[in-house]
Amino acid sequence: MRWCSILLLLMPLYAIGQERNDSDPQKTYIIEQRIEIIAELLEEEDIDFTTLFDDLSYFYEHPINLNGKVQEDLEQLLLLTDLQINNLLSHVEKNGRLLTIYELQAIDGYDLATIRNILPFVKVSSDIDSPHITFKEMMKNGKNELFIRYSRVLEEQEGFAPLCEDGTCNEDSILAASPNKRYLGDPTRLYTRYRFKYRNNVSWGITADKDAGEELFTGSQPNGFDFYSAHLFLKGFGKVKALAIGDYHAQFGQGLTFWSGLGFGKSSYVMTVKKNAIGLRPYTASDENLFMRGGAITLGFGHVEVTAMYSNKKIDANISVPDSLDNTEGTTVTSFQLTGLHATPGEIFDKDAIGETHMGGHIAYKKRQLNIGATAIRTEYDANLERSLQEYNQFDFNSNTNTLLGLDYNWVVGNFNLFGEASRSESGGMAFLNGALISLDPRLAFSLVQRNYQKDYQSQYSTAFADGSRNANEHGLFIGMEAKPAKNWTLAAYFDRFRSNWLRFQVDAPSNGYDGMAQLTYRPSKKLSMYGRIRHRVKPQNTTEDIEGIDFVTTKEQTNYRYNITYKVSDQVQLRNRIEMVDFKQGNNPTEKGYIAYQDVIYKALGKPYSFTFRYALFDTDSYNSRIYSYENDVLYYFSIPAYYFRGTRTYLTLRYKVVRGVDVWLRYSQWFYNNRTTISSGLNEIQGNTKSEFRAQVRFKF
Amino acid sequence: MNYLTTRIGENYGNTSALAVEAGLQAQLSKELSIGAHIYNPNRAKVAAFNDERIPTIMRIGLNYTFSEKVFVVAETQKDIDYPANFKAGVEYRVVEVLYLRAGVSTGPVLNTFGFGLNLKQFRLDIASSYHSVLGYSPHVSLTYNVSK
Repeated sequence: MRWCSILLLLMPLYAIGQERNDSDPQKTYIIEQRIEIIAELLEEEDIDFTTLFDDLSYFYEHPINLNGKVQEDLEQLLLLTDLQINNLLSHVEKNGRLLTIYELQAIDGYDLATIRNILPFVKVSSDIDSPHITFKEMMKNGKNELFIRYSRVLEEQEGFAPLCEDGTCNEDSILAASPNKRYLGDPTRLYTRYRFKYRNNVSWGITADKDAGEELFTGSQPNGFDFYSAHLFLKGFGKVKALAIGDYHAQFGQGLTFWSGLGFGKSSYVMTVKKNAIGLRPYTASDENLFMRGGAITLGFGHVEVTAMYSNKKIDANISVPDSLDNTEGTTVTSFQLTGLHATPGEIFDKDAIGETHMGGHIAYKKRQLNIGATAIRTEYDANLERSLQEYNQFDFNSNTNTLLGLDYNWVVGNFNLFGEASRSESGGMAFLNGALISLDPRLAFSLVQRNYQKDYQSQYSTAFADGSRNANEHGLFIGMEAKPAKNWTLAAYFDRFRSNWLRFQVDAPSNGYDGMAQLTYRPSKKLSMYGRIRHRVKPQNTTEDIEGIDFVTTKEQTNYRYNITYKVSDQVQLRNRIEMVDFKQGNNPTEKGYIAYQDVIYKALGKPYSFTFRYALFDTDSYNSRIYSYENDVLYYFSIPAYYFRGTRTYLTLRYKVVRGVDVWLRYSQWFYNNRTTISSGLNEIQGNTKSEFRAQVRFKF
Repeated sequence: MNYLTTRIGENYGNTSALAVEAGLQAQLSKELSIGAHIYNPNRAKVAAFNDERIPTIMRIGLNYTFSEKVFVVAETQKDIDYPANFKAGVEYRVVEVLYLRAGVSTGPVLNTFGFGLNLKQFRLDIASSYHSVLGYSPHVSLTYNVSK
């Protein structure tokens, strides 16, 4: 039941099972709806959802034939639980092929909401298509896509402003003294991406990205863009299950040992706590550090699958160069830089400072109800890592090599789905995760995740379930419940408690905390959906009081109250409102409050070449602590969940226009206005004034 | 009705008080029932010193039966002197004789687990709560039903 309580689809039933037209305006809408819900729960500013969008987009255009060999495809879709997939496969085995899509209703665990969720992505057909790929066929039916995106903040930011306002001083001498006082390039952001795709089987492409303040084809960027990425990816060619050359992601088990790319964790979709590892997948996004570069292959021999991977790339780091030239083992790293920004001489100096090599692989034994896998990954840096560690992070990774070994399992037994992973790092630190998805009744499901990550477990690429941002120094138990007590009503709730046996950042003692959430959703028709949600979090943090000696640990209590309603007033116009309030209290400090209310207008008409979304939001929060995150609709393939804080308004308008078949244009204008600020941001991004506006334009060519 | 008595040795003597309790339960639908329970509404006094009284506690709970095998309960409990406590739990009948149970509570923060065995006249229930500082607190109960 992953994501299964997602808003009802507005997809008409008659479209099911037909090949979709590329220009279907419903497509992006349906996919965005799903991504929006997931994105909103993550509460982070910048997340690269490109891969997820690609997956859903592919299945929309090439619906999965439920009568075929579908297990892997359905897992990748992320909309069904393993129990549901298993029930479907058993049903087909026992009763023969499905005759119509309506037969799904007869299968255990498939309620109407689930079926509606997967409908746009599946079909029922008697001909099992086995991909017979010839080069000619591939070129004929393959699809090319080219994206160009331009963004720019309209107000002048400190780093782009002239250093001498009155012209009496010498800019060159100021820059010679402090070269990082100004960005080298202009404030434009540029992103281009070309990709060829033939079904799910062949993909190649190239991505180029320039961030604000970076130079383009000049000075520090003689090659043009600051970041390039390219990939060639093949899938499903006989014994070769997958082959990746260039940039790719590798994801195994529950993400405890190795998982590059995005991993979902705790959310109000309480049944999404389990990860379904895909193994290898192409990398097409623009994060400049967290991906693999090299080659990898997955081979299948009956029930056994073997993946081998190699990656070698340069990553950004703060380095200190030794004084003496005799010392050839010279480079010493004091910290990693993960922002991917290279807009000042300092950042350029840190760019690609050290080499990072990963090699290893995964071996899996896969039966329908039982998967067992083992992962081994060796990581090497070609520099000495010598970060100056504090007491709290003294057990963190701080050498040039790491070897991770892991074992993972996934077992469907009756109405229980058990899963887990155990892992050990070179430091001797161990980490364990065990979980279960339990379907007690068609209307009642539970999820459990127990984890025990030791303080000296060290991993660079792990994204397993956790409350904190790292898979170390955490013990916890998560219990989630999803109940459908009556037609149209869904109650989702979770309770997660966690404990750290060692200090954490800004927590100078062993500590514990908990996080509880309850959400009630009412969806009486396809046109109306609403939910109310309460989330209460109690976490430790050092006192903010200025005291002598060791800071004692206080609790941070945060409670969010949210009401959200989405309704269609006509076939073209959908409205959405949200009201959210937050109370934040640390120790004996006064409670800090936050409030936001917004109105969204979404206009989408079938048969019209244009559509738009508009938001007007009013927010008022006492502090940054009482900030509120909210997902924003943006141009296709761009996702943002900014934090709203201080007092002001937020407006944006995103417009899409289909120029001709195969050419789409998006335009977006957004503005922050703060009525109790005279400057916005800080450092080189500081704006003198109380408004910050951004313009974005994007064009897509499909051919 | 409860008659409570406390005796502390070494010349402290003993004291006693009478506390009343009452409960109500209603079946709202085939699946949903609600219950309320009040303990000591008479605010029985133990000692005049510090105006020490037996705690007054009110509890309101819901029971939702999904099927013959599964029901879920939720309850809020308020002691007049302490912050409110929320509790929720589930019971699942795996087979005829075996029940599994799990729950959480917020004040104090506890996870609870347990199972029950239903063997003709005997009923055996074993459960434990887990507190992050105090650890496990197991409970056992054995019931013998004479007239079965």
